Amino acid sequence: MMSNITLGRYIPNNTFFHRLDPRCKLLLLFIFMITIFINLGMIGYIVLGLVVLLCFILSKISILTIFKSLKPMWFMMIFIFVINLFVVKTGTPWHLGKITIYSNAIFATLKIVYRLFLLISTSTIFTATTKPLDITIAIEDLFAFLKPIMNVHILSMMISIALRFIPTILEETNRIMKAQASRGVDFVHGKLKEKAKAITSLIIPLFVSAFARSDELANAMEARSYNPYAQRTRYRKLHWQFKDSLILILSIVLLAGFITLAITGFAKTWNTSIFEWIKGWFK
Amino acid sequence: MDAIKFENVTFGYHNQTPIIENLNLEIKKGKYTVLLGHNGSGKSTIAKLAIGLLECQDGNIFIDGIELNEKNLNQIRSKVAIVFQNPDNQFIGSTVRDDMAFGLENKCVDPNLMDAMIEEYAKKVNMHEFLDTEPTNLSGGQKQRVALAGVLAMQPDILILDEATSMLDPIGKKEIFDVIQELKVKRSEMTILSITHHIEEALFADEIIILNNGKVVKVGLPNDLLYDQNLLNQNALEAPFIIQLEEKLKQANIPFEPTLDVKELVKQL
Repeated sequence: MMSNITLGRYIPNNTFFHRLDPRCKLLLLFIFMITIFINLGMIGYIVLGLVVLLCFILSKISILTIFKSLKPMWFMMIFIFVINLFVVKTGTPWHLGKITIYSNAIFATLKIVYRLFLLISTSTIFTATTKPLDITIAIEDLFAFLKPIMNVHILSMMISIALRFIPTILEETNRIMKAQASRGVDFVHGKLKEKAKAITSLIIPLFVSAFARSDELANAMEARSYNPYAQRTRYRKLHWQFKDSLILILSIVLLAGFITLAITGFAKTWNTSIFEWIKGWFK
Repeated sequence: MDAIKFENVTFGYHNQTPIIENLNLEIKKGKYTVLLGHNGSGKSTIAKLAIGLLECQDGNIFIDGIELNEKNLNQIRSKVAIVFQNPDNQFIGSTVRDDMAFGLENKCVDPNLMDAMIEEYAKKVNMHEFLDTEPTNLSGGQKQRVALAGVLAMQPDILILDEATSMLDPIGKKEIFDVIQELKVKRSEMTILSITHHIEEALFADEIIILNNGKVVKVGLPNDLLYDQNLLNQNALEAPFIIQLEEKLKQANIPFEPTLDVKELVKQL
């Protein structure tokens, strides 16, 4: 059960990406997300794909991990494709028996799937190369400008505690499942309704214990004179290096380039006529 | 002056019948006191009252002569440290290092000094080899030792152990107990209050307080209280192993000098 979770798991290593400042990596992720949702056109997407490929090589994450993390996408892909079949009615119509499929439906689907693929891969690279604790510190630092409006420290403390308790709660889940199974609850067989009923016998004790746990945790924190609104120092320090600035500037330049291309319409010519473009290859 | 003093303290959850009524309690400074009581005798409530996690409905609580109230809560908490029962639910950091740093961060210790302090106190509880380990990979006893190191690093005057060993296996219990023994020897100025139903911990106490139904039944030395079979029975406590053994020896008419030290008894026999 625990081994199935690959998305968002830290993989200890000491690569170039592991050594980058988490703040830099978080900013890169933001920049990348923006870039993905710009209408880039064929060349843009290829360049972006190459960048992601380079990141993968640099972070030394095994191909298997990536494919595992892409598992939930297959369902999405089929779902999007089916929707597109009914919505998109442009491009060259292809007749398959009684059904008519338009070429743009396929291309639109491919485009969305490709974007999702890039998005998931980059997030995987980010979480696989950054310790959860470092992510929370990076969030706290980057959102420090929000301090007058809200207490950013509370947010990062909540995230880090949530991350800290994931394995503990999973362990607890396993224990409750075993305890309930030994009392005759069947989690595996039966109809959906019966399964749902069985799950309640897991969820209710789990919630009860989680609340008791959080109560005790709050006591322990308070007893160690924790006060989120008071002045406190921070043990973990992040070190911004020259390479972080360099990488960040490079990616900002890349983003600016893509935006310019999108605005000038250069990308559009490539984009609207992907089909023509491919057809051109065969002429 | 007493390290902890309860004066006519009354407390009950949600206005139900009070768990503690008119309790008077004195914990002597620099001593190792054991508060004994069976489950539901109000032991843990006393710990929570002393550190200000609960507020008493009536009476006064003094820590080092300072009356506990909302204004000086921070001051009190810098004096009193507590280790709770459940090792999992007091591990806040994602590694041993971070967990120990948590208390120091709250005390606004300079981050540059933290590493040295963490090393020092981790060594005291013999956890210095596990500084970068995550809590999932630690045993209950190890986690509890980290909790102990974490609060010791805050350099409290008073250390409260609230059933700190009750969820541990025998080995984990012994590990914690050894650390406490060592503390008792090395840092005599620190007051240690151990709240427990595990009577073996009381053998080496400077003072034992027996609690039942939120009332102090008896205060005394281990030598006086632990041999009193009637007193222990009335308070649902069982005599420590060594004393049970000595009873049997007496019945068998084997001559020996009564002692609370197992090694000493073995030597005699």
